[in-house]
Amino acid sequence: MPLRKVWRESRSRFFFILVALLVVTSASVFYNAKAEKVVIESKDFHEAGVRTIRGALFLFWGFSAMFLGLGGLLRERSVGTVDYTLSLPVSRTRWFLYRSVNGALQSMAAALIPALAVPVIAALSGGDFPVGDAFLLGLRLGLGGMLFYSIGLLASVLFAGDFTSAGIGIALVFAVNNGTRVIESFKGLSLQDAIFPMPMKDEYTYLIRGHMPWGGIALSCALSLVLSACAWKVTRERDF
Amino acid sequence: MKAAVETRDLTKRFGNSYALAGLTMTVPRGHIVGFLGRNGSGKTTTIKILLDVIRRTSGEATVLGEPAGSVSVRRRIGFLGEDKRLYSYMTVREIIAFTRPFFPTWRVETETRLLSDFELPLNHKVSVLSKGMRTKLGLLLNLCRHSEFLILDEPSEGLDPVMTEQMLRSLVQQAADGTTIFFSSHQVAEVEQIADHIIAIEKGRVILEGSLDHLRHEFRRVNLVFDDPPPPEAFRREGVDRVIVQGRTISILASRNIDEIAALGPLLGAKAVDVHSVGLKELFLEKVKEDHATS
Repeated sequence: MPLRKVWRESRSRFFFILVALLVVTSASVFYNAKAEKVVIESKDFHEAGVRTIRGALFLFWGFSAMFLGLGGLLRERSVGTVDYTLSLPVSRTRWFLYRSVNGALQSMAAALIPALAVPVIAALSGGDFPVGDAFLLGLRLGLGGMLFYSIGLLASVLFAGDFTSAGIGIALVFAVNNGTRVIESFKGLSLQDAIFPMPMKDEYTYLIRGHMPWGGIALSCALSLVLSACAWKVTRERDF
Repeated sequence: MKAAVETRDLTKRFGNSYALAGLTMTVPRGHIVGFLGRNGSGKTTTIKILLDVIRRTSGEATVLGEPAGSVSVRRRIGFLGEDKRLYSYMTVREIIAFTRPFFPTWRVETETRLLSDFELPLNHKVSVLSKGMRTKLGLLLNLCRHSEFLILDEPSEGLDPVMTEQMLRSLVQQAADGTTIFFSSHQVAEVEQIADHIIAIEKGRVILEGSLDHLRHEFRRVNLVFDDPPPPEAFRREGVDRVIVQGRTISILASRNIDEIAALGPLLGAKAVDVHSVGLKELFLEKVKEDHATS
């Protein structure tokens, strides 16, 4: 029952985000394929696909995952339903667990589905992009980018009001994305490079080679767990 | 049998101010208990602590013998909040289907009866229901549970007289089935109508507690008319709660030694002595004034 509730509360937002990410993915694949002319003789969409998932999708998905982390009991307080929710025989920890698992699965789906749309777009355009590569790139994005999701989760338990938590979440995602690019000493901490390291891309075929970047993914997941644990602690202790 | 609610020295601090300042009270089982207090006296804070919506600063609180707000105790109670807000994105049918599995004592026959009595539109979303209809839905969601204990926070707030009457009747019926009802209100008339036990609070402390019958019999107002009133201190004794001098009249609110006070009047020169019973409203107002005078 609680899972059904958290799904009902978040499904419109999830579908909206999914559609938006599919539009971004399609536009980016076509832009890279046509305007950037990365599809030349072989008619493959390898480079266009990799550029899309590593570039536009990574950027937009980061903000989307943060949005998928918003909501919860503090938002319910602002709409007036928190008293009813907390009067039901379900602990705060369980409510938090159901919401965070639901949001994490949605974030993962929002990474995998647009990534898997790349081979479909390529095929519809007479080109090709391996489904296995698309899946692995989507998986890297979804797992490695969980940090963005947990930023949303933490913002949602600290700041009441949709606009405040969303605004702070956007600022934090922006800082994580750009701080590692602008500040020289932070460059080694780039989440984008950790998830999609350039040496793991074949320079001729633009396909994946080598193993998954487990180090970067593990670091991001560990940070994500720390932020989620903080969010859980705040949820357990605070007044609603 | 343990009390429905027991609190001891319960405090809740928001910043520098205390919403509850050592609240000690007992809600007996099997009664309709009116939780009376002015706006801001701490009623909602108390209820939210009992439900674990907010955390107490210090003190103890138990509900049905278990720590207040525990998951197991929430399975045995019902709650209807002041603004009756429910999930706006669900239909009436969906919110009933959502709530039902949480409560093992849910009775489908009560659900069917109340759906018919309250004329609730099953396929309408909660967001389009009026406050009156939301109250009916909230009552249905609570009454079908047949819980041991039902908490209501200002249940009649914003309702028209007809709906208020219907709601109060439903509560009396539920109490007859063995449910302890604990409802907060600042409407004395409403409390007097259905409650048989009263707990009144002011500034986060209990100022009046007891069965309504007992309070009605215990307290008396003694009015004494003098040509030249003696000092009020002349009437100070055990059981005297408040002495007010208004011109030539001295008005005394007392719970004990009433005959002695009445007899003392003529000895001190009273021209007329009048002893009469005190209504709950008068009693409550006097207790609030007394609390203000002493603090």
